[in-house]
Amino acid sequence: MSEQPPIEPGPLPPPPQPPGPPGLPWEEPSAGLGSIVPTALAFVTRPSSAYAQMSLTVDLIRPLAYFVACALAAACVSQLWGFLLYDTMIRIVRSLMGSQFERFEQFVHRPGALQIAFGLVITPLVILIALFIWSGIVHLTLTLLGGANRGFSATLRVMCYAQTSQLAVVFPLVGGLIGFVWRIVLEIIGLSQAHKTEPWKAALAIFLPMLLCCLCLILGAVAFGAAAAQALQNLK
Amino acid sequence: MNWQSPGREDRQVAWLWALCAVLAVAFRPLWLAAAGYLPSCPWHAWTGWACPGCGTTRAIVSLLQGRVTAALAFNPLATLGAMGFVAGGILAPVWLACGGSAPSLAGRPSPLIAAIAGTGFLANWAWLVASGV
Repeated sequence: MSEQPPIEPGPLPPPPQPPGPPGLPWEEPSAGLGSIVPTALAFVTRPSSAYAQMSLTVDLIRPLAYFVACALAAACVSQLWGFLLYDTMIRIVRSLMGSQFERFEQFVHRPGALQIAFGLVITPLVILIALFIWSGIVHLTLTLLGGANRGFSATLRVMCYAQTSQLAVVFPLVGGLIGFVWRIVLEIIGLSQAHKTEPWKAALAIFLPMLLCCLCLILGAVAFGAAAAQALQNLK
Repeated sequence: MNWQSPGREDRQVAWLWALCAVLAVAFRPLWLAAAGYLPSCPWHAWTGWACPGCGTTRAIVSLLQGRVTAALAFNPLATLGAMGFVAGGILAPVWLACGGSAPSLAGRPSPLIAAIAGTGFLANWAWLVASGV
């Protein structure tokens, strides 16, 4: 029986790293479609910590897929409200516009199944274009303000998760307005978290383009949903 | 602006840009049909002065109809931005595929860049007011 040589003490293994903050459920490697719900809930109930959890390195496809999913869900609900509450909406618009409504009356029709289906396909694609352009404008403004401490993709990720606000369309008639205000709040929180910049710079990066360049575009975008629907009906 | 070796994320942004540019051109009939229903500029209606975004819709419609000079007259900055958006979307993935570096818009811009951006914006606005767009 041979004796074993004495074991010499080697260098101590490094102490275990403390676990970092958990990421967003939607950004887990094995996340399925069901993880959209807890992720959306996180942005609804605690947006600041949700943005702090947001990964800046995970595949960009994840936030983009979340964006499209939220846009599609919001489009579905909007179309549903538009179909169910068509008469109520027309009555409200008629009372707001007065005699001017007659100019548009010939173009306004209750959407058919084909228009709804076409709208559901087109809407996420149009919103995707808007996402890219708006992210570019905001990132450019943030850069000019000296607040962009990370690249464009960080801004893009913030804007993708801000799409959670569009779930406000579950409230009929006023959901769009609630979603618009909520979106601004989410974008400011997200930009300040993702770029590690002061909230006032993040707020200016959102408000300056709105006030200087896009006031008309935003008002136009609010009207665009109805305008596009009417145009689609005329194209049929 | 810094130039760096492109990573996976830069390529994804480039492809997304390309997709958006192609979609924006492919939806030409939709933009042209919807443009007629958009309201006129409320700022211009209230004050009589052009806002920095005035003429953008007409510029984009002219651009979609192939009338570049007319588009530039309506809103030069919006026209150049739209042309840059489409051209950049087509070129960005090709540029990266050919081994080009990726630009990084992060950090504080140099005073010269900030001055050029501010001057360009104000010059565009002055043109809109002067031309009565």
